[in-house]
Amino acid sequence: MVDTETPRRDSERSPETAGFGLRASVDLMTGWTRRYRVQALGLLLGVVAWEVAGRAGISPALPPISAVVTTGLEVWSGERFLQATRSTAIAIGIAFPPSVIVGVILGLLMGLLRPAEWILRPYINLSLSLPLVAIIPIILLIFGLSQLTIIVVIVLYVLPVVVVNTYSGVRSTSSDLLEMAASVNASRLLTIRRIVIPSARALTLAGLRIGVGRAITGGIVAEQIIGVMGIGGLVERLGGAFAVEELYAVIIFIGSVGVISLAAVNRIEQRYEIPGV
Amino acid sequence: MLWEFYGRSIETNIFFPTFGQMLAALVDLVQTPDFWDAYRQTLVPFVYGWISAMAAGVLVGLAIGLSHTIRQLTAPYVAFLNALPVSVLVPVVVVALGIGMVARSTVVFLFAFFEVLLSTEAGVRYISDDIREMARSFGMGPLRRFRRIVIPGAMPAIMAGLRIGTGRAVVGMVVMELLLVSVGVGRLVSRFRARFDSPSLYALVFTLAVFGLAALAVMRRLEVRALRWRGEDQ
Amino acid sequence: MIELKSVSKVFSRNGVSLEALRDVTFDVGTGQFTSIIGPSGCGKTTLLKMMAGLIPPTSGTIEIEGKKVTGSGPDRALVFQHFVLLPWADVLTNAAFGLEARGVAKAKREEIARAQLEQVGLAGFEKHYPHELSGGMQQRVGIARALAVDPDTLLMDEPFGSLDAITRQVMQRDLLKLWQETAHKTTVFVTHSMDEAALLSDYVVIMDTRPGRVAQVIEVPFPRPRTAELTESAEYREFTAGMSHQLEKMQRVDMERETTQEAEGISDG
Repeated sequence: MVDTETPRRDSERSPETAGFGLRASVDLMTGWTRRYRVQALGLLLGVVAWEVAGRAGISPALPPISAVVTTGLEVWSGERFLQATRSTAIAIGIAFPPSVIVGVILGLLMGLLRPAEWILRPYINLSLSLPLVAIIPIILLIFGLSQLTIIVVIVLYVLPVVVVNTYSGVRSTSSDLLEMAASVNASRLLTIRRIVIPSARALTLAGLRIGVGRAITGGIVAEQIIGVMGIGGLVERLGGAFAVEELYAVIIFIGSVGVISLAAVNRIEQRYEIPGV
Repeated sequence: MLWEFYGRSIETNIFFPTFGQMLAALVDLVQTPDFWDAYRQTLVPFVYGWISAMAAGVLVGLAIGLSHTIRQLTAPYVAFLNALPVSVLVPVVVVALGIGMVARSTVVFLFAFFEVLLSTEAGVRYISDDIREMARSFGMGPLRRFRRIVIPGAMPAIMAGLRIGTGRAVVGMVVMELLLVSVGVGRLVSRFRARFDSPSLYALVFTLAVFGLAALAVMRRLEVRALRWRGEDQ
Repeated sequence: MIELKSVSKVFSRNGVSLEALRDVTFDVGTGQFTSIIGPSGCGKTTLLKMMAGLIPPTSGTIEIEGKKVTGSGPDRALVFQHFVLLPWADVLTNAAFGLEARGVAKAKREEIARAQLEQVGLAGFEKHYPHELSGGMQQRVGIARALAVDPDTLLMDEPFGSLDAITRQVMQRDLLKLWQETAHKTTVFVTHSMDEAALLSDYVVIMDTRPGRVAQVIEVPFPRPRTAELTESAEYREFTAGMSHQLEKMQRVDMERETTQEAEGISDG
């Protein structure tokens, strides 16, 4: 049973409300260890309902879960699936790390230097309030039906979130601490190194967590729109071929990856959590 | 700022139309009836999906937030669906419901629903326990408590959720247009792409962006309005 | 020797100005322990920050050893009410922070910090983190940090204000001992507790509020070296009672003034 983790949807939230979802999910997790019985029950009920509904033939779109699982095992080991997964993974692997690095740097710059803030802020705000998906056709036009488009899309999805969270982290540095640093005449460099950056760590890691979710979302959406590569492309093709069971199998896989990766980043976030900040 | 940016990318290249070109295309676009028709087609499912997502999201969110049992029962599903990129569900919707109005509305719905649900649920759960306890100690019945404490207490989160949910609904609308291409804005998108008519494409995307921003601005205004008492409180 | 000459401070925001301090004049002799006490809002913390060089006076001057105070400097060290430690750094790093700011090399500053930590009674806690320590212990780290830079003047802003009554008592006694025996520095100590001021200081500056101004400077008549037993003596209790009454009166007058002003519809600040 996979544990319940931080909502990926934090990606669309402003930093203020992002906290809600995080606490809610962490609570879900502690609830889980205490009352796994009820959750297991819920899961069981769902599985049973699915099986029954599937057998009853309510809709061609709802095969019994047993069929999904059996087909799934085939699919998950199939060449087409593995290749698609590899393709998506590569795209994310190429796009994510640089986006994070650049994002953190920009966020720091924005937080520390007034002119940087002044210049970058409108772009960042804009890219977060826009429906980013709308940009995809343009990217598609420019870079064509290639892996590059997907990579660019992922960068556009991840970068602003990392920037804004790092920036918030910098801005949220306790003014008490800054005053204390001024009182000991600490140099700007020392203040940044010892106070601002550690303060920003929590929010920056949150940005990373959100970024992971967005990388997966953005990458897959772009693939779906392009239609031929990666997991997104696979999903579209399966849908077009009405191969429902395979489709569900892939969806379950994608969801599980999402849950696991969020859990992993959450773990990292908690490791670096500083009590009393 | 944005104008500056655009002004700089004056490479007159098929991929980067100048700002002027885009503007010209925009003007053209706005004058063609095709454009308005397309938006009309697109906005209907948007509104249906959006409204139902907000209503359903708040209701289910309240239910989950208030009832421990329901929360435990639904937890694995909520978590899973939350970590899932919603766009992946679109082919399922298509298989199940085709590409008509219902399907399209459903796509928009799916995008917005979870966000509203999560925010509402979180809002309900994080109402200060002290206040709840205080109300109970004075013998306030559950219905009263709901009205006087739960709703006002969860309001900020709910309103925030509605705002973000609206943003998500717009995203859903665009995804719907791009993946279920047959009518509406999506059709225009493919047309412009096929023709490599980049100024028009940019202009179209611009209108989508404007729409999205406008929707958010409206929701933000509503959010502020609804939360006026908070300002004094804090 | 710290000399305050007609120090005034006016804060303005959005066209509204608040006179925080008016014409404050007094001296703090070298090697003396002076407390500043007064009802809330009398500007004592502002005054301390001005001495630290963090806030400039609107008018008047503050001179230390004849030199005007223009900014923070190596001759002064602050201890804060809320400790203000770096939560992500261990006790040793925190204690050494002031030295690090001065550019002292790692080995040297750790050596000095260690010594100071021992002095304040925290030997063995170097690797701990602030959140693992009680309030009293955290403040000891703050004090160690201040002492580590060997300042001429120690500026303490209600350092025990965030602690519970018992811890406060322990800290007061330990500070008394520390100050009298080793760190005999010129100290300015802001507090709202008369008991504290009477136990620790040579002089007490009593301030009135709205605007903040000096009401009285009193010499504390108890001879040094003092011990904790002082608090049990009759003279001590008489002394502190008298001063407490005066403070209380000032606070009530102030509250009354505020109520009348509000009733008359005059906005305040």
